[in-house]
Amino acid sequence: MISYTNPEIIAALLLATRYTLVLFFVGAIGGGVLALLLLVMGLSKSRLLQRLLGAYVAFFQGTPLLMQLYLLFFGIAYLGVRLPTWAAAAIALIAWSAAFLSEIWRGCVAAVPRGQWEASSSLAMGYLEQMRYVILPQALTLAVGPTVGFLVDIMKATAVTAIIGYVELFQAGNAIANTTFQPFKVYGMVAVIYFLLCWPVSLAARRIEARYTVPR
Amino acid sequence: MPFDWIIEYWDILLGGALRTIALTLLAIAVATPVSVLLGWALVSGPGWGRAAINAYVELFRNTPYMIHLFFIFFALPRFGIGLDPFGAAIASLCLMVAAFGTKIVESGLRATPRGQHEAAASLGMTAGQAFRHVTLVPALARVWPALCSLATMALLDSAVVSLIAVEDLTWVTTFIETRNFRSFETFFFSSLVFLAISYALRRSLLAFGDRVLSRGMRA
Repeated sequence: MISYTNPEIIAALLLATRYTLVLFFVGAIGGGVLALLLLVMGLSKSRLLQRLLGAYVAFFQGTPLLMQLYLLFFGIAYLGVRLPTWAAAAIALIAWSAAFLSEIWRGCVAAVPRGQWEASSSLAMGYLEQMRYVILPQALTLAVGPTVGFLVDIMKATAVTAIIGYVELFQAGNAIANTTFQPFKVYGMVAVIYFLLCWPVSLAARRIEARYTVPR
Repeated sequence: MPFDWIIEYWDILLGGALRTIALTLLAIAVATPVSVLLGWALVSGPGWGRAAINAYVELFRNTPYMIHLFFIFFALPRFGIGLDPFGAAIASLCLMVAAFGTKIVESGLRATPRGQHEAAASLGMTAGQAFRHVTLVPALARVWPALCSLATMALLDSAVVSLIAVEDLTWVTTFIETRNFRSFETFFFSSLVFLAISYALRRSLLAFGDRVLSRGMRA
């Protein structure tokens, strides 16, 4: 048994939190970019693209993130491509969050009333003009709240990458809890740090949603 | 043959899948009534009760599920609450699902139009009848799709219970993988099993809601 002072434990956890934050930003930004590509794919008329997109979303929304990580980290390594831990964690998180974000955004585009499409095409707008001036501004307003809300899910999902050995907040907390035999204190601290990271984002999401929800 | 190990291990694969399904269904079965109770308390309970429920909900919605699981399994035994792996998995899943469920049920209850209560009173319904037919069932019908998504989330999040040696589908998968060394095929196959379970779960819950809740609204 090793003993550390409380400030030492907190300092170690905060240092590990940096890696949680790096992975969070990589997952959120990379996932957002990939989701935009998927969204454009989904808006196209091609049946094949629609099918592929449907399969992609179904797979990532219907299987545990842990399985996706195992598949990427151990499964792909077995096929001959050995990814470093951070790369496997980043790729899995990007692919996973893109599936959810593209679904959220697709729903927001679909939620713009049909009449808006008809009205803008009666004004002789082309597809890109319709998107730029009529559909996307309205869809974006709808999308902000759920998107910010999903950021909380990405933050929480980063913890799962600890299982394949990516050292972030959860992994560090686990190691400290195991060496100090003080699981209550250490897991408690880890939980508080996650809460402090996620709660402000949750509050922001709720506030945005309340502002953009039109009372019926 | 890349997949002939499935025949060799079919019994433990089946056992793992069944344990995963049991875990998910148990968590939903316990968490749903708790969610209804707490959601209702958020709408019409006393102020201190609302504050306590909101604190619980915010705490569990803004921390990763893995930390709930590890806290319950590794930290609580210090205080004499020692649960076996399956018990800790169930308890943590219920707590997590009920926290999300409470918020969903609350939003469903809040969406009841005011006039409905007045209409129920003018029809001479008792408080109990009005609660059941006007408040509860329509509210659940409104938020049923969200509750179904929550059930899927419970299924998928439950995969990490393999870390505390609950022998669920994920645990069984890693067990087989250390024996057949076919990492890709093994994880891919189990992913497909998860996909099938989540699809079946979602479909049957949506059908259940359609049957029970919409009939409840017509009656």
